[in-house]
Amino acid sequence: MGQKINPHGMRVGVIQDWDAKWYAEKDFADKLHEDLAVRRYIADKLSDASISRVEIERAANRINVSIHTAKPGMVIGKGGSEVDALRNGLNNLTGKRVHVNIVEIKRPDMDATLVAKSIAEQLENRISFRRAQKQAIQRTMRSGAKGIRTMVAGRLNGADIARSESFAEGSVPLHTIRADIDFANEEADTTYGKIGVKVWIYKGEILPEVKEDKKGGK
Amino acid sequence: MKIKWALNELKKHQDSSLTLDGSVDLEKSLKERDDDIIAASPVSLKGLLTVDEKSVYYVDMTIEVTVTLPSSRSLEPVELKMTIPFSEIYLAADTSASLEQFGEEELVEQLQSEVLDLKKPIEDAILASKPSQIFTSEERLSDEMPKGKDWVVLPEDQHSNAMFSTDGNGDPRFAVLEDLIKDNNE
Repeated sequence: MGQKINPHGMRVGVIQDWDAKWYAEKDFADKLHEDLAVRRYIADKLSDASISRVEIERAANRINVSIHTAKPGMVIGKGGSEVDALRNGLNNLTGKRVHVNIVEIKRPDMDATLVAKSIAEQLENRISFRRAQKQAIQRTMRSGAKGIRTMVAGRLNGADIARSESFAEGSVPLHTIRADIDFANEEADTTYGKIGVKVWIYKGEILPEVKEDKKGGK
Repeated sequence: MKIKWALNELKKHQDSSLTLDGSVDLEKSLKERDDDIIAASPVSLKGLLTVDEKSVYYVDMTIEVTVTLPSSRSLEPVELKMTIPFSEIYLAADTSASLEQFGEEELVEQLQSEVLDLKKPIEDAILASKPSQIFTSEERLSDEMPKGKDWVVLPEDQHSNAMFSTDGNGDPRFAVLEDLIKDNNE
């Protein structure tokens, strides 16, 4: 079987941005582990809040955490109670001042993490894996994607032998680096064990902007 | 309305389709299966159930239901009327038809017992059609986002993404370096 590179990792620095933006010299390891702890804390506290990704920026003794979510209400809670508790938790965890940006995702059906999470959630709710995948594909294509591929693997419908099944629509050119492909991998915990869900969404090509040189030189 | 039949009972309708027209209350089980659902109206069903000579059961109908979901931004209850097309095929255990003969786009299920129960497929269709984001009518019209001490909600297009900013100015943090580049060019 072919060994496959993560589509996001291959595009970071070319057409996709980093999720952590900071510079360190001697204390790189400490900051890296702090980042991992922050991400783990947020994933744990906001598991039901449709979180797509978490960006971390650092400046002096301050950390900016941007939480991308389709449901900001779940992050904020009633009257901001949840986000205040989250911010206090992060302040205590890092010992630094944490500012939280909650970024509302405009088109959740075009976000691979959210689509994968939604399929996983439906599988946990005992919805048939075919229906969950087809519905996800329909919605994503309707939102304007150029292509989508979904794959579920495990004991599908409780079968004795694990297998994988995938559905696709449109194109997903994984070898084209300028192709904006969002990829996510999630797990559904069912009574028969774990079912893996992978989603690839192709949103179109990102072409470099041609900058005009005012001096006319090359 | 009846949504569960013994297969023997349905075989009597082999020559004529069974009309499905009525409503069924699934609120309790929908709420049990999905915590997000605050309330659900009785589910209205309109369509046909057809049986062929190979013991294949075709269900084509339209599901109409109004569910109340929390707003994605403020958690306030929002009513949403959903009209869901439903088209599924069920194969009896003793059928001579096989799963492979149906197209990939068709939803085909092999029945495990001598009963055709549409409760779970109807619930599945409703839960799978639930939107991933829902807003109140005021939230849809307004650009105002909630904020508090040391936290703020931003729309996606206002969140800076330095690498791909379309204004051509790049990352604002590097603005001070522009003077350096200018000096170099001169």
